Amino acid sequence: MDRMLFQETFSQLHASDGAKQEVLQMTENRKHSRRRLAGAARVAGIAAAAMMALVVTAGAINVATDGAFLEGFTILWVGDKEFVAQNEAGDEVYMVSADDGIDFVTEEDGRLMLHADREIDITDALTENGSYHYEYEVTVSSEDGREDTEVFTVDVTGSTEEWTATQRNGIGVAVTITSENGEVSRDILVGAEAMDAEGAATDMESGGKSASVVEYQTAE
Amino acid sequence: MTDSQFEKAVETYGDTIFRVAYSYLKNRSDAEDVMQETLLKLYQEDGRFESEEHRKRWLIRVAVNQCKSTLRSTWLRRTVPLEEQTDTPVFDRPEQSELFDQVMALPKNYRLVVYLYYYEGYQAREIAELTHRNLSTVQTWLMRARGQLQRSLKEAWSRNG
Repeated sequence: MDRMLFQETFSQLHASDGAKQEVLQMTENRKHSRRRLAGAARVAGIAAAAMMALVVTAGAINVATDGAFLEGFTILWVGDKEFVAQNEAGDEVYMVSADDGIDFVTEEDGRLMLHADREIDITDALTENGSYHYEYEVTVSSEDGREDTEVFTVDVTGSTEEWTATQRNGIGVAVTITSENGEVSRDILVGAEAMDAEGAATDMESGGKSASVVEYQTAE
Repeated sequence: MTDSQFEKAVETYGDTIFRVAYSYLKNRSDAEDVMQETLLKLYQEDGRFESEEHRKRWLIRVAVNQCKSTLRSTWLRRTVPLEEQTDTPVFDRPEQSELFDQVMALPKNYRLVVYLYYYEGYQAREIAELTHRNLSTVQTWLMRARGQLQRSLKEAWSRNG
């Protein structure tokens, strides 16, 4: 096989300029988020526990939005697939999740990554120990302006091929991600049972919103 | 990663990723999608690479994984027979065109290892790591691909005089 001929031939294969420009534009678009007054979305009477019906961490926001734009923001309000964050200057950001869920543990290029207050490669730890535990703090603001620091814990067990990761926020919401045979599923537990390692889901009513177990599959 | 760093990375590695994807998927549109997805992952990585070679290998591994995801996707546009493709490049010389056709006629795993070996200059051991395959598997594929190419090219060139 003539290596030079091979190289001369395949060096004539190029991606289109349009495709390259598009990806540059995509990164520009990712920096911008929808900004609007929370307005009617900030409904009075949504209790703190209901706000955390979908657990969203500062780390997850950074991952979802690709970073710097939301540094220094704290989560103000959380809905089904959307949330409002605000910084000290009073700037508000309203975000809608493009995915069915916001994963705090993801598989990337054969590595298992934890997205918490920072990104942590937990592959080796899980391979060696069969488990991984991490704790970090998140500032959560309620509708009434109160700010609390919550300790989030993450526990991952299993192997890099089949694992279960549970994130608890300490005030009654736990999100569990399970990866098995290439399929990822998620559960959200709300209530006292979420404080324990395992437990059944409960329904909870608060301010007209109810939170219950949500189970859904990824599009893959 | 800053915008200018990313722009430079697109310029430096865009075609590499595209060629890896094209050799696997045989389809320009899918290959460009893979290129874009791979580069977007790079953008999120925020520079945890020890060297440019480390970055390049990471990109190739991600691109290969993306290609496999593309093939598994329910929205997949299945491989179009070579003769139906209208997006193949136009080559300067007939032997280049013939070589391209014969490489693209190989099974996808052979095409990829052949591309990584003859174009990117990786050894079998490195290709095994990049493609998450056993070394012996890569060696076997390379050997079979070479054999097939030698036969088909010899035939093609003797046909064309």
